[in-house]
Order: sequence, then C-alpha cells, then structure tokens
Amino acid sequence: MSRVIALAGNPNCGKTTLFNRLTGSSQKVGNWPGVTIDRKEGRIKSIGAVLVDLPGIYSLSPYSPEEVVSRDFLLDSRPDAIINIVDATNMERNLYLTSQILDMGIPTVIALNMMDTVRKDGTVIDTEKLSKALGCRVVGISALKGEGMEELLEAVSSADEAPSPVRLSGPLEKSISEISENLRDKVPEEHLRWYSVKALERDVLAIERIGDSWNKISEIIEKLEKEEDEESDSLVASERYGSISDIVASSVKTKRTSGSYTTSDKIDRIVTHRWLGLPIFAGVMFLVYYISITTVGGWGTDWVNDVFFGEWAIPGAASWLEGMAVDPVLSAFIVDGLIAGVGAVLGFLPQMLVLFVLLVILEDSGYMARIAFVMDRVFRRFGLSGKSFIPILIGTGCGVPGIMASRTIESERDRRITAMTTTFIPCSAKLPIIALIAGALFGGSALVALASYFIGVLAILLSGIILKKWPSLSGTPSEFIMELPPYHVPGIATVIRSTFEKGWAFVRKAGTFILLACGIVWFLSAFDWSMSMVGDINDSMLADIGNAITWIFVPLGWGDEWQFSVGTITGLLAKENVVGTFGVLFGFSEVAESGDEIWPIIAAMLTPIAGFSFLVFNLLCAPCFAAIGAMRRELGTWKATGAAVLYQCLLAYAVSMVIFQIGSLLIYGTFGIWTVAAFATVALIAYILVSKEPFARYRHKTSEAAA
Amino acid sequence: MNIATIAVGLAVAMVLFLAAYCSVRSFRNGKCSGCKECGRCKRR
Repeated sequence: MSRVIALAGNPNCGKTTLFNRLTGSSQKVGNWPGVTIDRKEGRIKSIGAVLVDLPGIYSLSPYSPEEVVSRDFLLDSRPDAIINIVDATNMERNLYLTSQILDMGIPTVIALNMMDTVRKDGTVIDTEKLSKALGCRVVGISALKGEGMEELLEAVSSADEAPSPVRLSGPLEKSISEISENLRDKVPEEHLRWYSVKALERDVLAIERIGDSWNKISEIIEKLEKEEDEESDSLVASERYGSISDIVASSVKTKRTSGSYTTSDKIDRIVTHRWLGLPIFAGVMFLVYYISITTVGGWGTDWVNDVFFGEWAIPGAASWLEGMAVDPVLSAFIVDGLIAGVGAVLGFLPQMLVLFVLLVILEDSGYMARIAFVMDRVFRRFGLSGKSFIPILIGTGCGVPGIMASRTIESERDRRITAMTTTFIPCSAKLPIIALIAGALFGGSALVALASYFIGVLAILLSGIILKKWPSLSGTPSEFIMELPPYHVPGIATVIRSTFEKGWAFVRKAGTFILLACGIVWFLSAFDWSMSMVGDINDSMLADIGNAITWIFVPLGWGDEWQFSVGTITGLLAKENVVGTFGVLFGFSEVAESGDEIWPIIAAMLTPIAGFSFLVFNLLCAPCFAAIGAMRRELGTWKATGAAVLYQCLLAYAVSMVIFQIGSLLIYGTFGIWTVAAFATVALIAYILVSKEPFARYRHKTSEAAA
Repeated sequence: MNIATIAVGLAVAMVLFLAAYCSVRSFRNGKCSGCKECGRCKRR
C-alpha cells in the first residue's frame, strides 16, 4: 500500500504550488489565502506515495468548515507523514501551527518555502539549528522555482519517527502529563500529547471526543489557572509563541531593521489607501476591460468573426456540403445551426483569453488580495465582511467555484448570503453577452463591461443589506483577518497554464453543451408544430414558445422581440447560450458571409437603454444550472435554493425595469404605467434599506420553521 | 437521399451523441466548466 503524506500549512504559504510541483498536477493556485477549500490527492511517482493537499489553517483549533477538513484528516486518517510547509518570510506565525502539528506524534518534515525571497532580502536561516530545535528534519525549498525538491522527497521517504514536541514551561508540562494520565487508553497513543494540550486549551472539538474524562481534566485546568492567574488557552498560546520566538532568534539572522518598509509595504500604502484604494481598483478594472474588450481582445474577436468564420469556416462548410450534394435541410442544420451558433460564442474567445491573462496577473501578483482588504471596509458597512469578496473574486472565472469558496466564511449566515449573491459578479460565460451588447449598442466601449462589474458588486452590497434584514439571515458580519502576501512578479508558466485551462474549458463547453443547445434551438426555429420547415422564422415552434413568455419582459424594454426572451431562457442552461441562440436566430452564417456582423441587427431591434436592461437582467438573474447545483450544495436544501433563485430573478427584474423605465423617461421622455411601477419599486427598495425591520411580520414564521 | 447525405448525417449524429454524452457526464460528475479552481475535477 502506498504511503499517505499530508501537506499542511498556513493559508497562502504555497501548498498547492508544492503539490503541483511534486505530483505534476495543475491545480488552481492563487496569491491569496483560501484557494484550497477541499482536500486534493495526487501521486508522487518517484517515491510511490499519495500526497494530500489540505486547506490552509492557522492552528489546529479550526473555525470554518474547510479548516475542519484539515484537522479531521490529520487526526482521523492518520497519514504516514506530514510535510508542514512553512513560509520562511513569516516564520514566527507559521511555526505556531508547526508546534501543534509536532504534538500529534506523526513523522513530520518541515519544508521551509520561499527561500529564494528570503535570500533576496539578505536573511540567513540556519536550517540545521532549526531542525535541532524543532526535533524534526527541516528542508529549505522554493516551490515556485522547484528548488530543494529532491532533498525534500528524500527527507519525506525516510521520515518514520515521531518528532519531539515543542516543550512548554514546567507548570504547563506538569498539567499536560496529569491530563495525559487521564486520557491514556481513551485516545490513540500517538495523539495523546495533542489531545492533552487541546484539552488544556478547552478546545470544544477535543472535549467532545474526550467524553466522560472531562470532569477530572477540568479540575486540573482550574488548578493551573488559579496558580498562574491566567486562562489556560492564553497560557498555552503565549508559551508557544515564547518558545517559537527563541527558536527563530537562534536560527535566523535578518538584515532588515525594524521599522523599515519593504517594496510591498510601500505599494500597499498607496493601493490600500483609505480614499485612493477604490478609485485605483476601478481604474485597474477599466484598464483590464479596455485591453480585453476594446483593443487587443477586440481585434482578435473581429478577426475570428470576420475572417475565420466569415470568410473561411462558414462559406467553406456551405460550399463543401453543396458540392457533395448533401440534403439542404441537413446542410442548413450544420451551417445555420451548429456552426453559426457555436461560432457566435467562439468569436469571443480572443477577448476572453486576454481577460483571463490580465486577471491571472492581478491575482498572482498579490493585488487582488489587497482588494479584499479594501473591500472589507466597504462590505462591512453593508453587513458583509471582506471574506465575502474572495468568493466573488473567484466567481469572475466561474460561479461554481466562487459559490464553493463561500465555505471559507465562519458565520453560517454570511456564508449563505455570499453563496446566494456570488453569481451577481459577471463570470467568464457572461462576458460574450457583455461584449455583444457593448459592441452592438455602445460602440464597443469598455465602460459597459466596467459598469457590469460594478453593478454586480452593487447588487451584492444591496443584497447584503436586504438579506441581513431577513430574520433567519440577520446578524453581525464575521471578523476578517487576512495576511497580505508579498507582491511578486507573476510566473509566466502560471499565467499561461491558468489562461489555457480556462480557455480550453470554454472551448470544450462550446463544443459539447453549447453545440447541443444550438442544434435544438435551430430545430425549434426551423420547423413548425406540424414538423414542416418554415420560410419565416416567426412561424416556427420557437417563435410560438418565445411569444408565449415574452410579455413578461415588456416592462424591461426587450419583451417586444421574442428572440431576446428565448435567449434569456436558454441562458439558464449555460450563459454562453444567450449569444449562441442569437447566432442561430439572427442568421450569423448569413451575416458573416456578407462580411457584416450580428451587431447591426441587434442595434435595429433594441434601443441602447433596452439593450443595457437586457444585459443587466442576464447578469443578475438565476445563474446557469451548474451554479444552481453548487448553490444547492452550499445552502443545503432545494427550498433554500429555490428561494435564492427567486430572489435573484426578482432583483434582476426590479433593477432592469428601473434602468429601462427611468432611463427612457430621462433620455426619451417616455412615461407610462410601468414608469410608475419603476418608481414604486425604487420606493420599496429604499424602504427596505432604510427600515429597521421591514420583514418583522415574517419573524414569527421563520422562527417556527427554524424550530 | 444520396450517400453523402447519409454519411454526413451519421457523422453529425455521432458528434451530437458525443456532445450529449460529455455534457451529461460532466454534470453527473458534479463538474462545472472544468476550471480546476475548486479541486473537484482532479480529485481522485
């Protein structure tokens, strides 16, 4: 049987980078804490072992669900060895976890990561001395650059002895040995010291496992607290830090004098500034969307649409099928349905790739971690904590991992609100809709994308206030303590790999799910209910279906044309379907052949304000099925998930109606019954925001349901 | 119906079947877009 090796350490100390390096995997890495939310396994072929990457933890007294994953694995699965990865640039804080891991009695090797940065700073770490002081092997490595890997593997494969724990002062050690006597035969022998120390700290989860011995142990703790005149957990923590401080002082020689600022500190003074932080972030995001949608990415998209599909793929396929004398219906299905639909989606690939590159650079450099810090100040005013921003950050790639990342939030209420609102931020699948509307109605302006991003953030903030007033979700926001990682130049390999993986995932989805959906849309748009092919698309089955529902969207400004309603509904399967559906319905193959684009057709059907309303509705309404499934996993029940989806759709409807109706009044002077409804909606939202208990009448019902 | 129509029709049917199979398998495995951000895709 293969040896099982656990990889444990503080958040953002490079665990996943080391995991990828040792196993040859390509798991997502990020320069902010909380990237890993579930354990991952991989094989180290050279030593025939299984490596388990655990979510980052600061101590073995966990608070959030993903921290529990780490502790439970170490305690219950009993790995054969632990690689404790320690950030060498921040040893004192990292060694606090180390001192607890050493108590567990599992053979441990300490991988001192980021040694390249330490050398650059002029700091010298004596790994031999450190190894002697900690009672286990210490290996200096750089997971990013692959330094020290062979030595680390050699140390891991030969690690079979339990390490000696970090000793505390006499009175504490005396109490620990008294507690150990009470716990002998009740907990696994190798974990005896760990349980004893945790019991001394009054750790709730440890007490649960100890059972009926607790009364005697409690007396021992009370006696110690009386003698030392301090609570036992504070005593243990301060003793641990004291011992760690001595160990670090004897083995680390630092060049930096206290009080001097590093480059990271200097940059942080500007980008996390109280007043400048947000405008800088808005500027950075504008630049990101400007480069990806208007300039570099836009040129690429033009080429793919005009040349690749317009001149090569579509005319080539059409003439080949004609030359082969293939039946015209089948030929139309392939050209007007499959190629046109998928082509309309793939046309946006260049813009998406450029966006991915820029976002990965921002993430990997460490800037996005600063934004979580800046946003904490804003989020806190709206009843959420900065911790909610990490899932939102991840949600810009795909909503599903964004929703799953809400697990890093300790407070259940905050976690539920975050899982319900994360998909308001535009994910990569929504980018084609943004680019389409921006291109068709706003001259390709990057401001449309920027507005979409900040409307997403505003919807989250607004929902923070509204949902916090709902009785079952009320409460104060979680505390947010986050260590800002040092800035570094993003690794080219990380940027290329991450961009390729995201781009490939998009292409794969277009080639499978979107292809299938486009085929169905074409079939429904080409035939009537008697299965006869229609000459006019308005006589098709799809037109009938669209016309049956399109009245719902009339107050939003785009309900007169059934194609937009159909696009919105197909978008519930996957958001890329919105553009794919338009590709089929607006005859992308025909317009591409003539060198024109789909944009003028949309511009003729919608006013800019109606187009923007359509965009906002599709950004905020229920996400795709995959994201709804992820929400179900995090919220626990279909009832709660249904309520969340209903809330999202209602909010999307309200915001889009307000945008269209009030926008039309201001721009075109249009006034009608729906303008009144829009003002009433604004008044209702304002009342909910201002009133202390707008949902008081539901308090009783909610309490009953909870009971 | 000529032979070219049958051949192309079969090829398209096969492509659509594969697309359906991959889509269903992807959803049944609980995968989303396979972006590897959450670790589910590669979990063994």
